[in-house]
Amino acid sequence: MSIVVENLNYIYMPKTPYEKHAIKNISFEIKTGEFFGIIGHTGSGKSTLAQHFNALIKPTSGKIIIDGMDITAKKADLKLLRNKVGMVFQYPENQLFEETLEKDVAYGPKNLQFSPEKIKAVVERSLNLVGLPYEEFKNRSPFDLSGGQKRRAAIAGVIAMEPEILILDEPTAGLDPSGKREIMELVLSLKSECTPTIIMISHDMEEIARYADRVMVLNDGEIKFILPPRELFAKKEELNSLGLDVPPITELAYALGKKGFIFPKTVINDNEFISAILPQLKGGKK
Amino acid sequence: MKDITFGQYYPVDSIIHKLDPRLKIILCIAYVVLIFLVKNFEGFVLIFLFLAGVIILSKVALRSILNSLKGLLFLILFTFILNLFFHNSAEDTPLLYWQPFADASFFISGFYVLITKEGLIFAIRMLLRLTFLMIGTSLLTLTTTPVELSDGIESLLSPLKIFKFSPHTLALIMSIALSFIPTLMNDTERIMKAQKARGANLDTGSLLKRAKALIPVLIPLFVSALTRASELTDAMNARCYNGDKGRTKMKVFKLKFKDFVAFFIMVAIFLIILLWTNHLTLIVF
Repeated sequence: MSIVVENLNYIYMPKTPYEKHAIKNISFEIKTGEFFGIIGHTGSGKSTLAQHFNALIKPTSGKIIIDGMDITAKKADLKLLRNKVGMVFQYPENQLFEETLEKDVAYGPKNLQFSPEKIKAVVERSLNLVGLPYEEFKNRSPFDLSGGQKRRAAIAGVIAMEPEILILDEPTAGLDPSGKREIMELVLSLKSECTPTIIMISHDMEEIARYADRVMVLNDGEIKFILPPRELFAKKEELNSLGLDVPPITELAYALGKKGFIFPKTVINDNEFISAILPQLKGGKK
Repeated sequence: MKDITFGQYYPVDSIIHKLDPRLKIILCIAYVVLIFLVKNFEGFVLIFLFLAGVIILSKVALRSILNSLKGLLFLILFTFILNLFFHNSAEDTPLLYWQPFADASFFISGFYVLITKEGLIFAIRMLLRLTFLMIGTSLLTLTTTPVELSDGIESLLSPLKIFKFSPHTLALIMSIALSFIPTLMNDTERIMKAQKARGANLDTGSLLKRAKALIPVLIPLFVSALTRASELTDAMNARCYNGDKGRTKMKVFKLKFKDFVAFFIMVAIFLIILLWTNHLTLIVF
């Protein structure tokens, strides 16, 4: 289930005063089983790009080939595509509408014309997977849930369609730290249990550093970098000039490095930081 | 969704954009009255020339203006067809008469199609009127920001204060409604995309099927609209909103020299069109 993007261009509202060249001739590839992060500041084209993978937006020019299928072709099979690629939008809880959770999660599978038995099975599995036990929650109204539960319910609605690629647009936006951790743990368990390929847009560099295999940096519709997190966050100055930060722990290591501490490689998580700094503190000199 | 640019403000710098919004509103009303007073085709030609002049001065792209027509094309054509077939009387000159089932013995034998010369002229006249009406009024909204527009209306309605009517409240309702349009459009678009990603089929199928398919869009939309409304109320209360009592305006309208010039030019044009085309039979219409 690889995704190949070739010379993709998207112009928003062409030939009006609001015209904007949102995506400028970009090409790249996402491999099967990869956790692919997309970062960039507001208006850099991240969300626009993500919506192309699901053919919710048709490109102005260029091609996207998912698993050998050209989804930008005129007669692309959208039903098949939406079965393959699941999309969790920003604030996905806004898409809940049914009276009960069971019905809401069943909406996608029903649209894909799964059989009634299969629908029941996927709904049960999805609700259990996102941590809303089926028996307890199936008859609850989605509007009675807490913020974090609503978001997980919405994610259940997407994974119930059994996609092989999951796109998440800022899945942790607006949540408190424990809610964020829960959602990210959920995403990881989804990766290992049902959707092997994950594309995640995020503003949280710590999340990106911890989970992504490779990260794409978009700036003004153009690709600046596609690198593994460690190599990417070594480029602190370049990222800063694009209006992006490195994770806080990397920032700290960088500041301490200026004061004479030695970090053999770019630090991107707490454990690396601790194991690098501890031996240097024991001497008690610095 | 974004194609609905009906009367959306067109941000360029032109003489028309800079005119006082109150003046533009009054002239727009006068223009609408004028359209309905003009009866003959010379009049429509003159109005067309006048409109073309204003469009050129306003620097608004013709495309945006035609776009605002697109939404009402159906209504305009529908009116035209109804008028064409049903606006006729016994004294009219028939152009086409067709009674396909005259020989049939039952009730449909009375069915006939009749187009008369008078009906055709009337239908064309209404078609032109509606088109010019749409173009003229959308020029107002294309060249005036929503804020200016509601402030202008508030100022124009201020004499009604003596009847205990609050133009401020009306203007506030209007500007909130207007400013919510883009927000709600964005919400609609986002929710539609989210449901499409879940396999919803919103574009094909029978009318009933499509109406049913909209439920998953409408319910979240209502939820978000109500949430937004109650958040806005809280935000206004938190900033001590208290109606227009003792409230001052950030922008105070003042008529400038160019407004007077524009006013007199427009009035002169309107009078010329009226007098020329109606030959002073104004009182008789």
